Parts: sequence; C-alpha cells; structure tokens
Amino acid sequence: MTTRRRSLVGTGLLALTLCALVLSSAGLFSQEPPKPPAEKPAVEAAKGETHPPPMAPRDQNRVYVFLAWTWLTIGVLLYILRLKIREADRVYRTGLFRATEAGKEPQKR
Amino acid sequence: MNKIRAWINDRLGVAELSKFGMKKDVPLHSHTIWYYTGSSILLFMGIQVVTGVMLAFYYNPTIKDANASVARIMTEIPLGWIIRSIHSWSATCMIAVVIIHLLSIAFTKAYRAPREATWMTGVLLLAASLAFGFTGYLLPWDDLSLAATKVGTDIPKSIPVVGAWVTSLLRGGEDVTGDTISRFFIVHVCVLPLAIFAILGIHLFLVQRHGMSVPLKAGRGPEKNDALPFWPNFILRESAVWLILFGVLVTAAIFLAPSLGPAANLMAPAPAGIKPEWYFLFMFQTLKLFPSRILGLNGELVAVAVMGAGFLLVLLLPLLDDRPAERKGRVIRYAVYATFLYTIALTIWSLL
Amino acid sequence: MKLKYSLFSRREFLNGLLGGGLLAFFATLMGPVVRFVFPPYKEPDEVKLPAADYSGLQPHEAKGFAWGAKPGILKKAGDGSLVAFVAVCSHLDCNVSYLPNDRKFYCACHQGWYDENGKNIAGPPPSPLRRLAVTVEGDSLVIKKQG
Repeated sequence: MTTRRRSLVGTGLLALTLCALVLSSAGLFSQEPPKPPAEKPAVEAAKGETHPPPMAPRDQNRVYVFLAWTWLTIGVLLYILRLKIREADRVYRTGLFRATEAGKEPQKR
Repeated sequence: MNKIRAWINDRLGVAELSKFGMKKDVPLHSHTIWYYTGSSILLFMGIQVVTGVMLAFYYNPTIKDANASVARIMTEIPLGWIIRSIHSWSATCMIAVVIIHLLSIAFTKAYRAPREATWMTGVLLLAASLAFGFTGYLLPWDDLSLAATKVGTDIPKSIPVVGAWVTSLLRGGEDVTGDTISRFFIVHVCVLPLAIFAILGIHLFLVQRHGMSVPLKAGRGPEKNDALPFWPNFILRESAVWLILFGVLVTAAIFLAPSLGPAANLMAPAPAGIKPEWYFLFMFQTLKLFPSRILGLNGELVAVAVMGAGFLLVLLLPLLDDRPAERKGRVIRYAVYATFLYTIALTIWSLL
Repeated sequence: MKLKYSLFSRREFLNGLLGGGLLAFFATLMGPVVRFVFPPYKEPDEVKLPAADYSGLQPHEAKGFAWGAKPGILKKAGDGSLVAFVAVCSHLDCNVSYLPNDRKFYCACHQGWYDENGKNIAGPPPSPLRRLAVTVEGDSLVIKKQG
C-alpha cells in the first residue's frame, strides 16, 4: 500500500475516532454540568449518611445512556477482537511467522 | 510512520520486546483459563491507580476535612460518586482475583521448583493488596472505618515486646487520630504503590524467566505441545477478558455505589454491627472465636500467633511441597482445600 | 464487481478497525474523566452584603468583600455612589489593594497601578479591573456581574 493511501486510511480513522469523541461528549455531556442536588445532601446529612446522588431523572438517564454506550462499544470491540483472534490463529496455524524467526518479520504490523 | 518506528527501535530496542512476545508461548490445555487471572489483576490495579489519582485531586487527608472532602466528591464533583464507586469496586475485584489467582496456582501446583520465588513474591503481593485495602478503608473517616481501624491496629498490641511499638507505628501515636489518617494516606498513596511495583517487577520477571507452568495432568495429555503465541493471540484474548471485566465493574459501580457515613466521632462509642471489609471477615471471626485466655496465655496473642503461622505457611508453601511425588501433593492439596473452606465458612458465619 | 486494487489489505483494515475502535472506547471513557478533573467552579451570580457594614464608608474609601473565591473591593466614589471591582490584577491574578491616600489600586506583585475607576495606568497590567454592578435593595447591597 502506498504512503498516500496509508495516510488516507489513517486520516479517515482519526476522523472517525474524533467524531466518536465529539459525539460522545457533545451528546451526553455538553450541557452545563448537572446542578449539584443541594437539598439532597442536607437531608441526607440530617439522616446521617450520604448516598450517591440519585440526581434528577435527566442526569440519571445520562448515566444509564453512558453505561449502555459503554456496553455497546465493548460489544463492538469484542466482535472486532473475535475477527482479529481468528485471523491471528489462522496465521499462526500456517506457521508463517515461526519460519521467519531469524530474519525480520514480513510486513507484520 | 515507519520512520518513527525505526527511530524508536534504534534508540529503545523495542523490536527485542516484540520478538520476545512473539516467541513466548502460552500453553493450551484444560487449565489455560487460569492464565488470565494474572493480567486481570493488572487491569484492576491500573484502574485503581487512575481512579485513585483522580480521587486524590479532591480528597483531604486531615481529620477535619477527610469525611467532608469525600462527601464533596460524592455530591458536588461531577460524576465523583462513579469514580469513587469504581475505586471501591475495583479494590474488591482486585483482591478477589488475587485470591483466585493464588488458589489456581496452589491447586495446579505451579509454585513448585523452579517457581518458588515467584510464589513468595506473589504472597507478598497479596499482603500488599490487603494492606492497600486496610489503609484505604480508613480514608473516608466515617464511623465504620474508624472502628475497623481501631480494631485492626489494636491487634498487634498483643504481641509481646514489640506489640505496642507496632501499634504506635501504625497509628502515629497511642490512639487513632488525625496523624493516623496522614500516615495511612501516605502509605496508601506512595509507600504501597512503590512497594507493589517493585515486588511486581520481580514477580513478572520471574514469570517470564521460568515460563508458564503446566499442570502435571495436562502436561501428559495428547495436547502436550499445544501452545499459543503470547503476542498477538493471547494478548488479544486477554483484551477481550479485560473488556468484559471492565464492563461488569462499571455496571456494578453504577448500580451498587457505596455510601458514606457521617464523620467519625473520636469520643463516641463504637456503632453496632461494625465489621471490616469482606476479605478480613474470616480473620475477624477467628479473633472472635478465641477465648480471652488459653492455657494461661492471652487469647488474642494466640490468635495472632496462629494467623501469623498461617501466613508463614502460605508464604513458604513451595518449601514444604518441594517434591513432585504424587503423595505429598495430595496432602498439601487437601490442606489448601481445608484452608479455603475454613475462610469461606468463617466469612459466611461472620455475616450471619 | 471485483476490484482490481484495494486501498488496503484485509489485515490492515481489521487492524485499523481495532485501533479505531479502541480509540473510540477510550474516548468514551474520557468524557466522565474530563468532567471529573475539571470541576465546575462558577462565580456567584450575585452577592448580597448587609448595607450596615458599608454605611461608614467615606468618599474615596474602600472596603473588601468576598466575590465567590475571589476578593472584591467596594468603593465609594467621590460623588457618593458605590462601585465594586473584582480585586484581581489583570496581569497575573495577584490580589490588588486600594491605597486611599493615593486613591489608586496597587498590585504589589509587579508594581501595577490602577486609578480609582479601575483603569490600568502604570505597570504591566494589560486591562482595567473588572467592574461589578452595585444596587441597593432594602437593607442590603446586591453586587452583580456587570452586563
């Protein structure tokens, strides 16, 4: 693959990840940070224990969306890893790299 | 890109590492799954370091502000409660996986020659992990943690000659005070991480030096020579395990976040129902079992002696079981089973 | 349709996918981390002060107050009106003081001078002191952000 194509691919992937970054922060966290639930700690302090802030439903939902997004990303990554593991195992079985131990590895990335 | 890679390789010799990684083999057999435990511990430790640093941005290790700063993290700082929850859950998971790792090594007898030093450094790592848990537990400075620390630092007192001195060293004085918080904080954040990284370095070096151990039974089977290259095959599988563990950790952290009690009152009586973290429960229960006097000796001293002896036995296990003869293996195996069952039974008992 | 040439091999595509996916995963995690590390310190929208505390102010005299975590200075101008500034030097954030004899604000860090209207007149400060709006509401002084 020529250098130009490689740089194209690299830029494309970078753009994709930047999109992911921007979307994840824009979609989920762009609004002003959730106002600290000022009343809740006061009430809890009176009871004697501080629970993690249950937060307004809007913020609670954000946390659940984040969790769902995390699991989704994990699922996608697991799928890609499966493909990669299968490929790596296949390559190993052909004995391609064991044979070239002495010399430099051919085009492995 | 290749130019950058070549530059780095010329200066740092990274290609050597990748060659080693590709040469290093991970044996494939029915017990290969236990090989994942070691790196999982590393995952949790990494998470602890990151979340720990983040928490330390806002935590104040002083008697006046410890509890208040944790409360601030939980309520004011955005998503502070999640970070604290992840830190707390990752601690539990790390110690759980350390114990699973220890048991898997014990049952597959991977501590035998030439891996005795690996086992011993591993036991030291277990002790360090428990120390992390113990010191970290005090830092929120609520009723429960104060009581747990008082009890925990009181135990060495029963040791003759040095007991009081050890307790004073742990507490920064005769009693648990603000000095104790400072002490525990610096141990938790600086001393223990340095120690654990040093011991871990030796442990990992030894693992690489001796290679992966294969259980006797598996070593004789038809798949005797089946192995996976460490890079990339095993690493990819490990990454998958890490992803799943991470997902489970974050889910648990979000749905089962810990709470924070009111600030500890040094003058108040101990609250009812105090108990240490789950990994100390069996010791807690053992202490409760011992009567106050045994054969004229202080009961607590006997309990401490017994627990110390137990720790020494675990540490020196490879020296006790130093022959591959099948017979000796069985006795040790039953002893390990018995110890494991004992700790489980006492843990459950202490919760009833 | 079979392509004669492709941009990259299947392995490179897979590697790129994996790398990009991992990057995206860590990017997702960075969201909460960044929000945690940069907590939302906001200046107060307004500060209420009891008017009695500042009733003794003479013209060209000033007294401090707290503007969130920053110091503020409430000054009585020559015509008797009240004016408030955020007492933070526009140069490098040192706290400034008011010198009633000179009727100027002085920043001791790098010898910056502001006149009694907060305008930077000497030294390194690049811009005037930030003004705050003062209103009287009942028996308290309400200080708000200007504009």
